[in-house]
Amino acid sequence: MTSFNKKANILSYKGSSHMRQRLILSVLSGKSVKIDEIRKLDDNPGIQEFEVNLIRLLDKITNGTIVELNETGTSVFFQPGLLHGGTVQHECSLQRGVGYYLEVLVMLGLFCKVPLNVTLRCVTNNCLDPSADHILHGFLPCLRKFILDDEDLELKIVKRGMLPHGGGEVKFSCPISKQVRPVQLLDAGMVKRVRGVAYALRVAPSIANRMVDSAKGVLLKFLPDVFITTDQRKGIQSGKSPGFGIHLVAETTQGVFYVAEQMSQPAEAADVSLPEDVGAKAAQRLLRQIYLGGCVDPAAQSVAVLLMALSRNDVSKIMVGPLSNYTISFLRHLREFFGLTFHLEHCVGDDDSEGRGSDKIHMTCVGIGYSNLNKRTI
Amino acid sequence: ALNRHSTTRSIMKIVYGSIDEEPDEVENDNSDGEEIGGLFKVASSNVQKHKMKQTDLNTVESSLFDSWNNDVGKDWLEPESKALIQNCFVTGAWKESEDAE
Repeated sequence: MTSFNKKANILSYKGSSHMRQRLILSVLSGKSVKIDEIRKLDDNPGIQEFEVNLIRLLDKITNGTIVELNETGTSVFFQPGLLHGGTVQHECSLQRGVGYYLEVLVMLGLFCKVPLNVTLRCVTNNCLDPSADHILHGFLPCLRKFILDDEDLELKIVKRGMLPHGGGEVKFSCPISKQVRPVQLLDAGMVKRVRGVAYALRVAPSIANRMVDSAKGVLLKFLPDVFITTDQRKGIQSGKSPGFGIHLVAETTQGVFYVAEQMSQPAEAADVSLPEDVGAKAAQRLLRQIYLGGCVDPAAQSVAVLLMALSRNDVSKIMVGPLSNYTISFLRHLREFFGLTFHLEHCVGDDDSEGRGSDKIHMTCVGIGYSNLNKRTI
Repeated sequence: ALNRHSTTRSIMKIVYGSIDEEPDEVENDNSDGEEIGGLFKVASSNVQKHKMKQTDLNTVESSLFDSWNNDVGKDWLEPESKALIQNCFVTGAWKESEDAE
C-alpha cells in the first residue's frame, strides 16, 4: 500500500484515512506525501471541506508549503515547508470539532520557530473529536511531561460553540522547545478525585445542575471526592446553537488525567437527549476510560508516542492501556516516516493487578533526537 | 477492540506485522459474478472485498478510543464490572509497596 520513492523523498498513500497523521509526520520529517484515490467510489468523492481546512491551517503555520490538488480532489500532493508558527487566526470547518485541529497544533507546537499563538473559531464540543476541554485536561498534561518549561502552554475557551452552527472560540499558545526529553512513565497511580464542568448553552440553566446530579450519582459509588461545576455562559459566549454537555476529568495520585465527555444531540436531530441520561452516560464513560487506564489519557496516546519518538537519544518507556486504532496506525506511520519501531509488550507478573482495569502494555523506544531546527545552537 | 488486545500474544505483530504483506491484486470483475435472469448480477465476494477495502481506505479519522456517542458497552455499576476497576481508585485496595501500613 505504501511506496516510498527515495530519490524524490515522497511517500505515496491511498485513501483519506489517517490523512491528518500523514500530514503531521510529513511536516515534521520534511518528506512529501502523495495521497491518491481519496473517496474514489464515494457518492461525495474527493477531499472534504474539513481536510482542505486542515491543509490551510498547516499552510498558515509553515513557510513554503506546496499543495497540489487534482480536479476532482481525489488526489493530493503535499510538500511541507518549514515550521514557522507565530500568531494565527483560523476559521475551522464545522464538520469537525476543534480537537481535530488542536491536536495537530499540540503535536507541532513545540517544534515551531516562533511560539504558536492561535485563535480558532470552531465547534468546541462534538462527539467525534476530543473537545476543547479534553485537549486542555487530557492532552496538555501529557505534553507537559515531555518538556521542562511549560509556562506558556495554555488553552483558553473563550466561547463555546456546539453543532450545528458552532460559534466557539479557543485560544491556544504553546512554547517552543529545543528538544523533547525522554520519559519513563510506568505507574499510573490511583484515581484520587474527579472534577468536571457541566455547560448549558442557550437552554435552561437548570439543565446543567440536572446533569451534575446524575453524574455524581454514579461516581460517588466509587469515590467521595467528586466536584462538578457548572459553566453558564451568556450571549455570544455560548455560541450559535443550543445544546448542553458535561465534561469529566479523573486525576490520579501520579498526575495522570482521564477524560470523558457527553453532550446533547444537535438541535435538529430526531431523538432528544435528557440531561439525566447525558450526565449518567458521561460518568459511565469516565469509568470506562479509567478501566482502559495507562499513564496517558487513552485519546492522547498518539501524542505520547510522537514525543517519545522525537525525544533526545535515550530510552523512553511508558505504560498504556489497550492501543486505540488511531495509535496503531500512528505507530505504523512513524515507522514509515522516521524508520522507528517501538517495542511493545504486555505487562506481566503483577500479582495484585486484580481490579485494576484492562491489561496494560509497555511501549519502549529510543528517541531519534529530533531537534528544533530553528533553535539549534550553531 | 478490547478483547483483541488481551487475547493475542504479540502486540508487535498486530501493529507492525501486517503491513509488510502486499494486498492481493483484485481480479477482473467480469469473470466472476453470476447472472440471474439475464438482468441482475450477483456481486461476487471478490467485488465486495474490493469494496470493503475501498471503505477501509477512507475511514473517519479520530483519536478518540471510540466516539462519545457509542454505547458504553457495559454498566459499570454492575458488581462484576465494578470489581474490574475498583482498585483503580484510592478507595480500593492498595498495592503492598504503596500501603503505609
